[in-house]
Amino acid sequence: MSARDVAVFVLLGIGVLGFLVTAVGFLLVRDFYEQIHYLAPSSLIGAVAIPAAVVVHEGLSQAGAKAILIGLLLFWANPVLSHATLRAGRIRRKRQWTPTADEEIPRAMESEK
Amino acid sequence: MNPWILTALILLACMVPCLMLCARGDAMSRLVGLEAGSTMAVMVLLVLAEGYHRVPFVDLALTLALLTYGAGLVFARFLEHWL
Repeated sequence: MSARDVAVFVLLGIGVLGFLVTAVGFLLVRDFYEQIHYLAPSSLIGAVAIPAAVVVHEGLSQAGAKAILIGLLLFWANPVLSHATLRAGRIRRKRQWTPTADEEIPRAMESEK
Repeated sequence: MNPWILTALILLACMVPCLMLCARGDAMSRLVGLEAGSTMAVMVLLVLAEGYHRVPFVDLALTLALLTYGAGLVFARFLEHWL
């Protein structure tokens, strides 16, 4: 087994671990806001490590270049999608994005003054 | 069975909680399940293309990744305003 094979195994293992964290997290939490947190391990760890394994295995060939594109796209899309989903969920619950009158927003910077 | 196919099988198993979330959660939880499941589907297509040595099939994963991003934004927008 060459060093490249070991690197592929390790990267695949890390990627699978990220997806497993997401899957187990979905089983454990019920709140929508908490569920959004569990999107991150799959998109930021799993979706980067597995394309990286493809790049290590294939080199910078056609498949490697496309794997890099996929990894970059998913890595960039996750924060955008998480924010859009969170915003939609809050507007559905509160009817507005900005804080409501009865909400207390902690202002750490002001309290420290 | 090579490591790529094994990875695909594990990822398919990871999709089960996402499917459960899509089937049983409220509207927003279903969207979260859909987004996570889509990411897993992209990775399954990628590792299957690699496992079966079919390089052109990587295009499927790339296309699905692009569509997933647009679909997530559209779903979020619709759930925010109209659904």
